[in-house]
Amino acid sequence: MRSSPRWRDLGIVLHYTGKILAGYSFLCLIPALTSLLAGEYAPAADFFLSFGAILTVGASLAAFCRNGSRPGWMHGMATAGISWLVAMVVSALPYWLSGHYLSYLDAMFDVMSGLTTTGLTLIQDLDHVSIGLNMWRHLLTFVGGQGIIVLALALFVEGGGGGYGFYVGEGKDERLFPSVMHTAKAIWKISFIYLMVGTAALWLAGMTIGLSPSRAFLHGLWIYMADWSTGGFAPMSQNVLYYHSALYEAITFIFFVVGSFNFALHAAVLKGNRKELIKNIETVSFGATLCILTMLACWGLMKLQVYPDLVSLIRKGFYQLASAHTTTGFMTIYPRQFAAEWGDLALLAVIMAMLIGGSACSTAGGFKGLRVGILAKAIIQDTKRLLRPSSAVVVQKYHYHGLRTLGERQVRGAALVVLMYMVIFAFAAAAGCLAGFPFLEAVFEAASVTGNVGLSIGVTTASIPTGLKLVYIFNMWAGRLEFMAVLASAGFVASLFGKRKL
Amino acid sequence: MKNDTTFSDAIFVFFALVVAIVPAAADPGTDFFTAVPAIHLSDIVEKASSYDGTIVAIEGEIVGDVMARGDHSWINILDSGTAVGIWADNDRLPEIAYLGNYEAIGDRVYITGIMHRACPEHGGDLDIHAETIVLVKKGIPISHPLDLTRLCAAIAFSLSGILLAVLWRKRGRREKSS
Repeated sequence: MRSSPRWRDLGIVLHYTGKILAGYSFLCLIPALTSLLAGEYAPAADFFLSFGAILTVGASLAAFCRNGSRPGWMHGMATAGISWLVAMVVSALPYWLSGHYLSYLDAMFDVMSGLTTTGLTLIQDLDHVSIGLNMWRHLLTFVGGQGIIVLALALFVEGGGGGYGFYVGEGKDERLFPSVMHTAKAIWKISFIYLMVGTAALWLAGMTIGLSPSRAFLHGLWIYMADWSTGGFAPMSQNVLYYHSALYEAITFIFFVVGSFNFALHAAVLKGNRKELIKNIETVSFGATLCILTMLACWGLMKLQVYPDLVSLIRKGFYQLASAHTTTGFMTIYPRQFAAEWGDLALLAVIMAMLIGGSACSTAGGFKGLRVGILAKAIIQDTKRLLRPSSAVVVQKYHYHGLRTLGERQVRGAALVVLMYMVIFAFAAAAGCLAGFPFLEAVFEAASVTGNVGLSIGVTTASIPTGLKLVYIFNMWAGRLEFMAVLASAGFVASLFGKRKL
Repeated sequence: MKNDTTFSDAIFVFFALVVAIVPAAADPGTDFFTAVPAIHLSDIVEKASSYDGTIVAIEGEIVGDVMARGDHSWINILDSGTAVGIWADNDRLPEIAYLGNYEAIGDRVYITGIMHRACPEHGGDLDIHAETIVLVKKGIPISHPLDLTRLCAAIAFSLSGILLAVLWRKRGRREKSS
């Protein structure tokens, strides 16, 4: 039972990273074929080039870094963390070749933003981007929402002992089935069912609002991919505002809320257990925080008379807040309107919503409704302990796919993750202030990157300092993987080079 | 000195009146009509409260789609990285040759209209209700020639990737069988 990594372990980690990359490379064929169908031959060549380059790197690692050992928990966690970084570097190639980025770092920023379903972007001239590149942008966010490791597990990586490590390393810990591979396949099945329904709904809506059938289909597919994944990318620079449509906004609202729910909850509802939807601690927590924060935001917006009527208040105030809470990042206002018009109270509500985020084991970010619910229950339990005799035993229950007893372990786990989120949030906010942005703007953007949201107050542009871009990339990565894989990867690399063993 | 100041004030007022009145009076399509300098869209968004409810003049490229909604349409105008929605009567829309996208730089238009910071008619959208739209410059198609070096690199990398993948699978099978 050795837990200290050796160079031999690095071989195992690189082997599995290579396998994941090799499978991941085939994703490039989707925008490549899309480009060919659209008659965009130059982007098609870029995607075939990227496919070949990623497959070469992946197959080389898989072929030459192997020693026949089965992966363990440590390998799974380190592979998850490292794979995301390597995927960021290689997936930036089509972006960079497109000429829409000022530097390779900007292209990597957008890949990390897409894969982590954040939605912030440094792309230049988005309104003139090719169909192929838009397909790649939205595909990345769709795959990232489910997880690149989940994709690999579902398709071809035999998990072994480390299979669960791969899966947990990507920020998911719910098993829909006893086997991790079956769970991964179930996640993709659920996503594809919704993909068909959501694309069809947005396609019809697109034609209703005046888009041509082909444009309505492409926009419907792309918006749906970003919607379900709580990603926030859109094919036009105005984001969802481009469509000027209450119908489009209503459909995106439904799917980003549904997308922010736990995959285990989807599975339960699809199996007929609809009661779970109203009993589950996550949906209860989400409903409660959404109501409280909506009231807070509306109070702030009404006090400043930002919107002239109730419809505007719902379409702008509530939509933006729900988009923040589900960590989607779809916008129907301009980033600078947050800064110039919304006022401190409404912005505070949005910042809190972005930090809380959606459900665990979903496509959403933030420190998750489950942890908020557990901490709220822990506060109730401690209050009861204070009020009752010291000899009394206070048992606190919560409903999470069955009735469970709240234990110290759950509370400690939830508190630690929330604490780590707050630490990196403060780190990004400080970096924003150091870069010269006003406090509130730096805090807003930090909450957006840490919670993988994508709403912007106007800070994130290609002109921000390189250091701030790197901090934001780190926060998006760490926030998406929920720290375990990040800490494991850092410890793994440090112990390879250092004398101290893990 | 006092007389000079009064005279310059009079000239200023005259030009201010010209700027305010001429757009409403002139016929669309004349060069004279587009003489009022356009405001940058980024300024309109940044200082939305100051422009709210006023008549503004803007100039930019039509991007994306013309989304017809009954007797009106939505078009989106792009100027220096910022795009804003324009709500226009279909009769006032000029004949559009090119919409801005990957394949073309869209037609450039000059628009005067009422700016709304939070339009009550359109669910609080920041938009401009067009009074006049004039085609300033016809768009042009953009060619994206295939780069032969990239094509060769794509073929070379794809072949090397596939060969390495075959090698990896063969090694994997050999190890499994042994």
